[in-house]
Amino acid sequence: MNGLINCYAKCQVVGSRSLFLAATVVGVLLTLSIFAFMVMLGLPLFSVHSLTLLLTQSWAPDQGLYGVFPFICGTCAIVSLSLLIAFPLSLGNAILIHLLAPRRLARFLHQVVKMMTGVPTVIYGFVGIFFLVPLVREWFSRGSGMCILSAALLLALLISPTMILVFLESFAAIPATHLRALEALGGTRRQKLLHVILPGARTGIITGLLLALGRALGDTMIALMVAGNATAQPESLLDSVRTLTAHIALVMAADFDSIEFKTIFACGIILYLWTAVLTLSLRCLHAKSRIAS
Amino acid sequence: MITNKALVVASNGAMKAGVSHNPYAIGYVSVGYLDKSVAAVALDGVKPSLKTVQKGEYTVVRGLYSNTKGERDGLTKSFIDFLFSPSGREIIAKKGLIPAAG
Repeated sequence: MNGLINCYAKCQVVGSRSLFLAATVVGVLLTLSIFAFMVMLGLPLFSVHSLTLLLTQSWAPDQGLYGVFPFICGTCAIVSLSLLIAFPLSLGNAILIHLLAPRRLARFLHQVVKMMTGVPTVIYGFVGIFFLVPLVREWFSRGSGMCILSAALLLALLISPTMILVFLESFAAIPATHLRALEALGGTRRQKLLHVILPGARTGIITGLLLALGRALGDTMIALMVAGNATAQPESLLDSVRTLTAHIALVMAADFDSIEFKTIFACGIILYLWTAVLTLSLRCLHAKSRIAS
Repeated sequence: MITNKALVVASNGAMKAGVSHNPYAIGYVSVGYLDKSVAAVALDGVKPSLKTVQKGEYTVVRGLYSNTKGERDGLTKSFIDFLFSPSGREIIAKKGLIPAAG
């Protein structure tokens, strides 16, 4: 009887192990084959226009230039500005919720932030067109209002909840013994924040930043709707730009099987590699912090 | 040639929304999408409307095509035949487009 149960348990372990292994293999293969497909489908383009030219030239299909450099610049500008806006806001918000606000207000804010993660990005884009874009146009009385600044402001709103929630989680993971020790020594709330919470949550803070960066990089709708999608090289925050993701969406909607169309594979490969680097650096960060602790 | 600083939108509807919310904007939309939210620009004294486009007086026009891979047959053939039938033409006209002549 015992033997039978043992055998059953063993079968179960082996069965579930192979099931999970199969799931992992399928997941990994899918991810890798997507990359392989993009390279394969993009090959006709890369054989005519070298990859370095594609990455550095400007976009003027009627002059035979198919460079996506302005779109790389546009993506970088929008993403970095949105992080610059969202990071201090999110850190402050997380500190308020975790440490400073009265309990009921903190709980309310926490719920609001959780709810914000579920808002579809097309809603932000929609509100942006009708509300933010006219405001930006009137404030600066230059350009159309569809620009890097408008898109970055909306994108900041989109990525903040992700950051705030990751920050809060890392704050909550700080060992209670450390906090109690500080209280026993008569530390103030400010000392608690500056010398225990923030240093202890460093890995979590960087994780939140990188996750938000990935979210901002991959978002399509906001840039497509409010950044204006001009193909020129941006020179100021009030210039209209096209992001890599918006370029893919626009070309897909209008074209098929031309050189213009093939450039979307170049954009896809760039985005894929960026995301891969992001994920790998997250992995390294966590491996390092595990060794350290 | 259109300047590379020009804004690009994803659809006729988005263009109409963009132009109607910006007093300094000008943009291309299909004549079928025109309504009171935007003002149509006259070209050489001709105002764009279904009538002037049909008569060939308004010259900035484009044709829309149905493309098939190889000869049309089966379902694709009956669909394209339907586009040219009286009820198909009626639907096309209702959507603000001009049905192709036979």
